[in-house]
Amino acid sequence: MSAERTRHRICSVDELEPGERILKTVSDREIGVFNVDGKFHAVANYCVHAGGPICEGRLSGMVTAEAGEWEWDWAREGEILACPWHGWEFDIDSGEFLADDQYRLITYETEIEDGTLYVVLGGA
Amino acid sequence: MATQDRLRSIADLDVVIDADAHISEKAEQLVPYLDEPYKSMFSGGDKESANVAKPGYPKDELFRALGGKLQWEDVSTAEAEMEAMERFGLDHVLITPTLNLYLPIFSDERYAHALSKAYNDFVVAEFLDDGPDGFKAAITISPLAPDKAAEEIDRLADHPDMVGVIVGSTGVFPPLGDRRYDPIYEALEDNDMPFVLHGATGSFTSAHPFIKRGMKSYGELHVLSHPVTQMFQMTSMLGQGIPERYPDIDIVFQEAGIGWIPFTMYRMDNEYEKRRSEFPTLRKKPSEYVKENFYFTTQPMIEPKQSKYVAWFIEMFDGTDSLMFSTDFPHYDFDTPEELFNMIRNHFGAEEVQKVFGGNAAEVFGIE
Repeated sequence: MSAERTRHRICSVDELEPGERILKTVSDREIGVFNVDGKFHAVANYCVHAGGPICEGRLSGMVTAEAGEWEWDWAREGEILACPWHGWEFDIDSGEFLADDQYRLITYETEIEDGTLYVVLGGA
Repeated sequence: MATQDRLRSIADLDVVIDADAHISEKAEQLVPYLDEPYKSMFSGGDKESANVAKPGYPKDELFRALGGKLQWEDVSTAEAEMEAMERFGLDHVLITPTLNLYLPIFSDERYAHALSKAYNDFVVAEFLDDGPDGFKAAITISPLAPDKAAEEIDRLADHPDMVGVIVGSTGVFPPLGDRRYDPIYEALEDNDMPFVLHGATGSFTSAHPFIKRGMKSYGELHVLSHPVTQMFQMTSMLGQGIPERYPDIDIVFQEAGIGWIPFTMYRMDNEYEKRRSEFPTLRKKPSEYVKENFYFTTQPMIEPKQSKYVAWFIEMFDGTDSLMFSTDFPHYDFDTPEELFNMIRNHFGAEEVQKVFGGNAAEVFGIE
């Protein structure tokens, strides 16, 4: 990104507990910030498939299976974000689309300073 | 194909018509519109019991919403449909049902017919009569009692915003080439209305039980449900000469995408060439009827992601004369206008793209 690096306050760290999310408009961009077990993830509220409101989707886990095994499992609870429009599932940490790694959500860096949570735009 | 004169942006479209805009009607919304005795049957008793407070539409065990990963929006009011129009930049929407696509698999033709009437009166009262000019709808019929379906077409065909007739095409058995449906075709012809066919995955339990039982997930079943339904109906209609017998009726196939169309029509041509004596009603190749009499809505745009292949599919059946853009919103596999536009804008001229987004639907449904 060529734009100048800017930092934008989201909230105080205490306001966003593990398992919670907050949606804010920052510099004309809707950004969702998620607290996943104490780690913060900032994601543009725009699904790269068809523009759906990805940050309003269910954050949960994923069904997993090994070929040839009878049992299926549920893994990575709290790390998989699904778009409410068409169900596309993304790894909230990397932004990667689970079914095709050519697609990736728009994610942003987060920073914490003096108990305040910031999202960083541009300057990468 | 014209090489010049391309549209650059979706803003260049004169008009966008969504030829498959579902509402998600709720069974309890229809009760006040039901004829007797059904209306009174839903007015008493223990409301917690099955089929007491509201009609019980068929259900299956499949995970439609993926445990909440999918959040189907509720479009059961005119306000919600107006919001959808605004969100996607739609000038007109052809309102189509959700639950009432299941009517063909009901056991009781009298009850199914009563529900179709209640649904139609609900749409007229709560969407068309006070709604914006962009709201259009198709008269929903049950195929189980064709003479009664014809009466229903006659009853509502003069409503200015009822612009066609729709039937859930999964579970119509025997399929639509059968002569028992002649009263429906005659009513369509008399009222100069197009016939719209829309499959329903949820009807497979009854309509094609071996396919339903063999497919272990909604996803597996949904690969097949819409195209298999439409191939089954189209083959019957062509085989029994419906477009030869009723040449003025435009027939619209919804929600099966594009790929199945050239596949089916050329396969049928092959049978016709080798076994013409089994198709004596036909005066020309099946593919020629497909190009002249049949129309198709575009969603879901699930063809290859390379747009040149999509363009080839479309060219194989002169699709710019017969395709109509559709969203299918609010169902989980809906398309936005951009998805279709970006696939076709570099391969077809401005006029052709305009037809797909609005011109063809305006002509078929008489939308001004």
